[in-house]
Amino acid sequence: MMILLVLLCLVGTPLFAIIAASAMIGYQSEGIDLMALIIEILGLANMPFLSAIPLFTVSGYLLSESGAPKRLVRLTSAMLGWMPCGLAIVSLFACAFFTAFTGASGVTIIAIGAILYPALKTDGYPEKFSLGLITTSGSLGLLFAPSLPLILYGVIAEISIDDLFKAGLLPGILMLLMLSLYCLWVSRHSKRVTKPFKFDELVAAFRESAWELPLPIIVLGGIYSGFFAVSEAAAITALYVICIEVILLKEIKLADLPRLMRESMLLVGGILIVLAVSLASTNYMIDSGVPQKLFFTISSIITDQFTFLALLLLFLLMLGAILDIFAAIVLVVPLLLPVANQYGIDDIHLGIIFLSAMQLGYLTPPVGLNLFIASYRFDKSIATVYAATLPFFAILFLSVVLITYWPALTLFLL
Amino acid sequence: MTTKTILKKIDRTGIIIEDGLIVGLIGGVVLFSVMQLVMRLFFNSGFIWADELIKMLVLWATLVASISASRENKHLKIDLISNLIASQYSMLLQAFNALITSCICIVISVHAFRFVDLTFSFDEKVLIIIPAWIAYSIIPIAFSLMSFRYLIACAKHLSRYNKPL
Repeated sequence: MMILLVLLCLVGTPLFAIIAASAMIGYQSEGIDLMALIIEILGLANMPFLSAIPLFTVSGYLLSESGAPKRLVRLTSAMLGWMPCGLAIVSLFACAFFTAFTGASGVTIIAIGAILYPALKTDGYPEKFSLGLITTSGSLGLLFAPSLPLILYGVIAEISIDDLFKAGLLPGILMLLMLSLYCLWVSRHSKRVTKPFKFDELVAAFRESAWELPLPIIVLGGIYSGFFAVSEAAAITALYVICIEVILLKEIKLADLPRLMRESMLLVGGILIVLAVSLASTNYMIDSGVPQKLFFTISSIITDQFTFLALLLLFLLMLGAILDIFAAIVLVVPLLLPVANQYGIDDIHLGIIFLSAMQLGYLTPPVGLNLFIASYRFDKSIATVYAATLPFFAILFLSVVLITYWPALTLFLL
Repeated sequence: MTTKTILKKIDRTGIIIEDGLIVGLIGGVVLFSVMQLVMRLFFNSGFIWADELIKMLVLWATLVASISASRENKHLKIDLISNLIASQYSMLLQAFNALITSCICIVISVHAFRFVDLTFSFDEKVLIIIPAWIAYSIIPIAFSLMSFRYLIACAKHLSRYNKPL
C-alpha cells in the first residue's frame, strides 16, 4: 500500500491527500477510529506562534506588490554600489533582505530580480552571470529572520524561534560573503568603472524609504530584545504594511487588497493543510517507533557523527530536488530530529543545516522553484538557467558543508 | 434560466464568499493579535478568549484557503511525470489525480461529520460560550467542498482529453 502512495506522490497527487490517506491506513490497521485524524487536524490550532506564518506571508506579498522593491534596490545601491562589482553585491544583499521578509516563495525573483537583471546587463555584466546571480539570489536570505521556513521549523521542532533567528544570522552572512567574493573574483579582470559613493544619493534613498525603514527595526529589534513574541511582531508588521502601502503611500489600491490577501493565503493554506494532516501521520509513525527503528538501521551502518552528517547532506540535497521546502520541513523534521539527537546534533544546528541544504533545492532540477520562475520571468530555457546557476550552486554547496561541519558558527550567538 | 447559468451563478457566489471569508479571517487575526499586544503592553492584561479565537481564526483561514487552493489546483505536490508525457496523457493523469484526491477528501469529510456530530451530543464549548461543533464544522465543510472541486476538475480534465488536439 505504501508503494502505491509513493507512486501517487510521483505522479502529482496533492501531498495533503496522500499524507491523510497514509495516516488513515495506519489508523485502520491499528484498529483506531478514523475520527482520530480530525482530532489531529484540530491540533493545528494549538501549535504555538502559528499565526506568524499567514501574517508574515500577507505582509511579504503586499510589500512585493508595492514600490518597496524599487526603493530597496535604490537604497542598497546607494550604500554598496560604490564597491567594485557593486551592482552584483547589491543584488545579493537586496535579494537576501527581501527574501527574509517575503518568505522564500519565489517572489524575490519577480519583484527584485526584474529590476536588477536588466540593470546588471546594462552595467556590462555577462548575461549568463547575471542570470545565475539573480536566480541564486532568489532564495538567499532564507536563514535571516523572519523568514517563513525558519518559523515553520521552529513550530514543528518545538524549539525557540528567537534562538533560531539568532542562529541563522552568521551562516546567512557566510553565504552572502562567499557569493560576494565569488562575484569579485569573476569580475577581477573587468574594466568596469566603479561608481563613486554619493552621500546625497544615500540621504535621498533613505528619505524615500523612510516609511519602510522602521520595519526591520520593529521586527528584528522587537523579537531580539524580547519585546514582542514572533506572532505579535507578525501582527504589527501586517498592520503596519497595510497602513503604509494602502493608506499612506497608496501604492496598493484598497480594491486590490482582497485579491492580494487571497493570493498570499493560497500558499499558506497549501502549507498548513499539509502540516495539519501530517500531524496525524507523524504522530502515528512516532507512536509506532519509526524514528527508533530508523536510528537502529542507520546506527548499524554509521557510528560516527561525521559520516552521519555527510549522509544527511546527501539525503537533504536529494530531498530538496524533489520536494518543496515547506512540505519537506513538515514531513521530514519530526522523524529526523530524534535520529539526529542520537548522533549528538543540536536541534537548532540541525534546523540551520536543514534549511541551508534545502535552499540548494531551489536550484536543482526537476522541481527547483527558482529555475522555473527565472526561466518564465526572463524567457530563457530551464537548461540555460540551470547552467548559469551552476558556479553559484557550487559556492553555496561549499557554504552548506561549512555550516554543517562547523556547529560553532550556528551556535555562537546563542 | 438554464441549469448551466444557475450553476455558474452558484459558482460565482461561492467564490465571492470564499474570498470574503479569507480576507475577514486574516483581518480578524491581525486585529485581535494587535489588540492583545496593546492590552499586554499598555494595560498589562488581555482577554482570555482572544488567544483561542486567534487560533480558531487561523484554523478557519487555513481550511478556507485550502478550498480556494483546490479551485486553482495550487496544493503542494511533487510533479515529476506530467511534464514528461504528451499533454493529452497528462490530462488523463491529472483527471486520475483529481479523482483520487476527491475520494480521499470525501472519506475525511465523512469522519469529520461524525466528529462534529459527537461534539454536538457532548455539548462541548469553545471561546467560553460558543458550541464547539460550530467552530469545528469548518473541517467537514472544507473537505466536502474540496472533494466537490476535485470531482469537477476530474470531469474537466476528462472532457479535454476527449477533444482532439
